[in-house]
Amino acid sequence: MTWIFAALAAALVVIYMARPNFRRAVLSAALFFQDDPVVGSTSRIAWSTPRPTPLFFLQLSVVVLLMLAVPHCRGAAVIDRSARAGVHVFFDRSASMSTQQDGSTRFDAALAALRSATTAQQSAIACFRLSAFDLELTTVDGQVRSVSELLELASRLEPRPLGTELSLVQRALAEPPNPSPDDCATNAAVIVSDMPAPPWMDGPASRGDLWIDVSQPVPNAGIVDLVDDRDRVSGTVQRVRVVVGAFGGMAPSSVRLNVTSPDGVVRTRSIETWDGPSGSVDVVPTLPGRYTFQVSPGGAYRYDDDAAIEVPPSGSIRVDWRAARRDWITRLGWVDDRDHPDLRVLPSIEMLDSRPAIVLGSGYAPHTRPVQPVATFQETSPLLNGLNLDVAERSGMTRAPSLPPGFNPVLTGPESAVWIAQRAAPVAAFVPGLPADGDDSVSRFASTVFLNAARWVLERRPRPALFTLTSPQQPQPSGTRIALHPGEGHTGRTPRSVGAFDPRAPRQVQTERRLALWPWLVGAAALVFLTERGLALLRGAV
Amino acid sequence: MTRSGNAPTTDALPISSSQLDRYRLRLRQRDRGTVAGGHLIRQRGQSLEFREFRPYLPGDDIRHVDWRASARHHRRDELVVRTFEHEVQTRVVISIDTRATMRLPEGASKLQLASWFAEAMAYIAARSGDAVALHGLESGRVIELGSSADRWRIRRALQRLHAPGTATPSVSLNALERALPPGSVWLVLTDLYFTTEAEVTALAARVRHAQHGSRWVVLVDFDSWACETHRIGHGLRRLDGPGVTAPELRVRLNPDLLDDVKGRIDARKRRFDRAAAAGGYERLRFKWPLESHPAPADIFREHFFGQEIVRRLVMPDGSR
Repeated sequence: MTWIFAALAAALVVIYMARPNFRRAVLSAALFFQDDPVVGSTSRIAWSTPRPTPLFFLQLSVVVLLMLAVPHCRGAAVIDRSARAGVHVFFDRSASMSTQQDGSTRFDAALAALRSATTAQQSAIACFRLSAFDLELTTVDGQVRSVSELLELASRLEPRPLGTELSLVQRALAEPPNPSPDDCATNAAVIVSDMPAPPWMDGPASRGDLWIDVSQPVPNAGIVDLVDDRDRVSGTVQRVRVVVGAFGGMAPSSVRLNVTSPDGVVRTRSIETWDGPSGSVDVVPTLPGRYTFQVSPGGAYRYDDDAAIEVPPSGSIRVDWRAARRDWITRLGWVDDRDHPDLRVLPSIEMLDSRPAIVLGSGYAPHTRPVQPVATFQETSPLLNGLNLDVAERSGMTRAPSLPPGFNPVLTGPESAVWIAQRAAPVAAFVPGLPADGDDSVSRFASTVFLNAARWVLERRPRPALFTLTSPQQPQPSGTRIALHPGEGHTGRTPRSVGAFDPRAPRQVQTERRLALWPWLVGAAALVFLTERGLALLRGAV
Repeated sequence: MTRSGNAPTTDALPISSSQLDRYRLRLRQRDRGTVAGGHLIRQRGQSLEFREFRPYLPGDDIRHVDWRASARHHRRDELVVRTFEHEVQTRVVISIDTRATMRLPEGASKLQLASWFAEAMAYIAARSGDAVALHGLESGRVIELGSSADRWRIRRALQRLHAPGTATPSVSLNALERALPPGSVWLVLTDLYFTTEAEVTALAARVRHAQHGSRWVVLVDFDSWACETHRIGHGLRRLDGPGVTAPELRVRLNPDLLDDVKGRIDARKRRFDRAAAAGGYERLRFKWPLESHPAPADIFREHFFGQEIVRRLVMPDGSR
């Protein structure tokens, strides 16, 4: 609209150039000008620079005022079109929208439902905003002028092998619309999904928007989850539980799981125990490498039909031993590996980084130091498991150096001397010293403290995942990147749509703040226009 | 008793009667029988009116010798005679152009100044004992004033002539045949802005013809071009004015165009002069100053008291 008025202003200048204002002048010798060949033509067309007449400036002022008023009128236009709503369409494009039902996909059904809902109300809808959602909410187009354009844009979307995050829609509905000036100002919403309408849609905070659930129960069987059971210290995968679901009338007894081990052997397992719609199969990986699982029959939803995991090789604990007494590596059955250690044993706090580590103090001196009473201790800390604190007082522990932020004292002595401390993330522990060889109580105390710390750190170290899930950044399944997003394969839900689409219903609009300026601008333009007309009348130039 | 003492109005003659009373018509014969400027108005002869001293010539009446003057004469052997003149009533006809072009420019119209000039000349002539007639150049109407120096009457007569013409405005000269006897003085007050060349030619022919009867014709040209063009300035204009036949006369006024039009107007006037001059014709110019809104009284006074030709028409009373 702004461009239209800018074009009008330009046209006004051109008109004044092409149709200049010939000011009337009375001259007693006027008749002698008739014979002049220069003025023989009576054409009004005479290109010239615009004459700076008051009328010209007044007319230009009118156009400029209207041009300034247009951006401010946009919000007002929404108000004035209270009978013509701006509609925000949220379109589900999660993995489950690829589910086959009634010979087509739920995505196709969603398009049909959107067409049905909007076409009937087309005359009452001023514009649309189209957003797509799965694990993320994306604005496809902020200013859609017609239903046909809306359907065209929606049809270009495709289901992505991602989950559905309904909270994104909830937040978008709850937040006041703050579109850019070029976007459609909406006051109604239509959500098209294969998920049943959540409770907040018809709760007290609901705005009365429309939720269209296009799903129909269809038989489907698929992998619901993969749960691994590992040794806490070594990380060895001891078992993988494959959770399988049967929905929408799929007979559980017919569901089988084919397990392919790294050596290529395929074993078909039946799901013997079912708990409701889900059952499970435990797989014990005996070999490191890729295991694949396939559910048969798969049913209407395909992304949960198969999955793959990578089982890491099981082995000894790898350690980066930087302290003295490297013989302890062998004595503890660990493997020296400075490149990919499971644990680092460091003689100095300055060497600590984000990798799992045990930092050693200056050791124990039970015979040279007097008994030091324990000041405080953290009773629940695993680092103190099996320790005799009486021995601790006699062990001659030295005060820990200044520890980095994140360390919590577990055992302290006089004058707040920290003897043992732990850090949850990144996981690390501070102990007074290495294990001791003796059989005395202090040696056993030292060994217990070190091994407690080693276990605690090793149990909390990050382990490589057996599989990953697809994400908005990497939406396509590949290898162990699988699309086992919760709930996507649950094709047996009862559909639930909410709301009736009535764009003419009065709704809360957030654009009142824009209403301040434009009436003044338009009023000023009208006043200038009247002045110009009056002036033209007086001058006989109407 | 005259009514010349009436309080002046907005269009009243900006010269008081007392000022006009100091003037009389200067209509002296210079070379009787000659052509140039020779209009026999006053005849030399015996009358009570002293005219001049001149050397004695054989045949002069000896009684006219002024002995005292002869004694003071620088040539001792030459006598000086006193000559007298007797007054003959002169006919003064003032034709005033009342067409629409004369009614411009607004605020200082040519007709206004022409009326003032006619009033002043009629008053002076009447006070000199001459017979005065007013003639409407457009209507052809002649109003005889006789020797009445009643300014009120003169003004009323002028107002009657000012009434716009009924049909197509044009020069009407037929009534002048009887109003302009031989030996009369004819003042034509006009701007010469005639629509057609034929009108110009007709007036020029009439002026030329009038001179054949020993009439002295003075055409007073009221030229407001400078004022009017200065007033409307330059640029795009839709010209309007008397005699314009074009539906919309749109022009881009600039110095070149104005010079061009002015040149054609002047050329027409020169053609008129050539066609009208027959020995007893002179053109007096009342020229408006280069101002948008000049005071008409100033224009009139400047020309009435400053123009050479006006001094040839009137002279202070008592001077010779």
